[in-house]
Amino acid sequence: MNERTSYEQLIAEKAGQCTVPDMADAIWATIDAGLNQMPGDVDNNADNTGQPGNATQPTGKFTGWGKPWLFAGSGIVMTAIVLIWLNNKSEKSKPGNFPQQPQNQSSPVQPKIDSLQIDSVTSKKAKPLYAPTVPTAIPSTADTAAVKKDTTTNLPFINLPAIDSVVQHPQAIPDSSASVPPPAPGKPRGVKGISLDDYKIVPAKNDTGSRKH
Amino acid sequence: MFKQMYPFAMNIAMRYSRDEQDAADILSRAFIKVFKSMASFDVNKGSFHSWLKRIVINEALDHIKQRSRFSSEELEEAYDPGISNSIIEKTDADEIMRMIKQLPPATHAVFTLFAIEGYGHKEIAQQLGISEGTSKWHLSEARKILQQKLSVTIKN
Repeated sequence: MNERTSYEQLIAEKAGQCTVPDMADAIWATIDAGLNQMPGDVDNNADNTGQPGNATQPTGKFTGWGKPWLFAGSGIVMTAIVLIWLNNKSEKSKPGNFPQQPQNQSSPVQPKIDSLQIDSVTSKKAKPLYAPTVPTAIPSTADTAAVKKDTTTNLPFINLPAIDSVVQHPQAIPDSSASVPPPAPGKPRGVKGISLDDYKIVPAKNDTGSRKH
Repeated sequence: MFKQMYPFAMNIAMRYSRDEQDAADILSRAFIKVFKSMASFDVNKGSFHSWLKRIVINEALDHIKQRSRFSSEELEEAYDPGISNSIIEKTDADEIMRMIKQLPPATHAVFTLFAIEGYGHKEIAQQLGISEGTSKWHLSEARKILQQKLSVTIKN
């Protein structure tokens, strides 16, 4: 049977006779709290429908303009905090970068010998260079200093290919040595029975001495 | 407006709730919706009472759906135990409503919609998201349980 029975119709009639608990004030308080979380247009509706005085008083209290100001104020405060934080962060980052920048800049200033040689070789120019200016940087490494002394003393005035990097960076001396050695190993090969020392002494003292040999 | 409508709306909410607190929750949410959508109310489409009743019932059904499951069983025809009208007439209204509230929530909702509100199974099925057969099954269960309770009440 899919239709209402007569006793169910009686139940429906009786359901309308049930007593209702007096909870109107408590329920309205809940409704009021719920309405206060909404924009002010709801309050206008409530007023238009003839809401009791109890209901209208709390709803018109704070919803009209207070919340927008609160949101605006909090937004301004948040923006200020973010700006201050970013400012502090940028100021802190400046000194923090110093240790890194000198490392990058110092690498050409205080290079390893290998890198220096590469620089000097690549930056060679055809300018005559005065050899004695070079030895000031020789003490940087013991091995290279020994080699340099020999080459510079034996060949005092040689027009070597100019090396700007050597002038700017004293460590560039190895480059000049790199340009000088080629004649040194070449000559011993050509003349048998003459040591390297003999060969060096001869041009330093007299040109004629070398002719004797 | 709220105080004027309170007895009417609270009576509807009480039909679908287990206790007064449940009814108060349903009613408060329903009235918040009423105030929110007051501008959409059209007098030409129906009375304010029927509009308010619709909102309260919808809110009550949402409340029931949240806390209960509907059976997956179905029936083609609801069971009729044949309760005498005289038994209902002799029984107090609050006592009858107390018996109805003791039904399982889903069965309670179907019985209230069918017997008290006068909806058909098709409408109930649409509102609760169940099949018509399931609505009939719940109605049959409600009738059986009420018959037992009424018989016990008469004996006492």
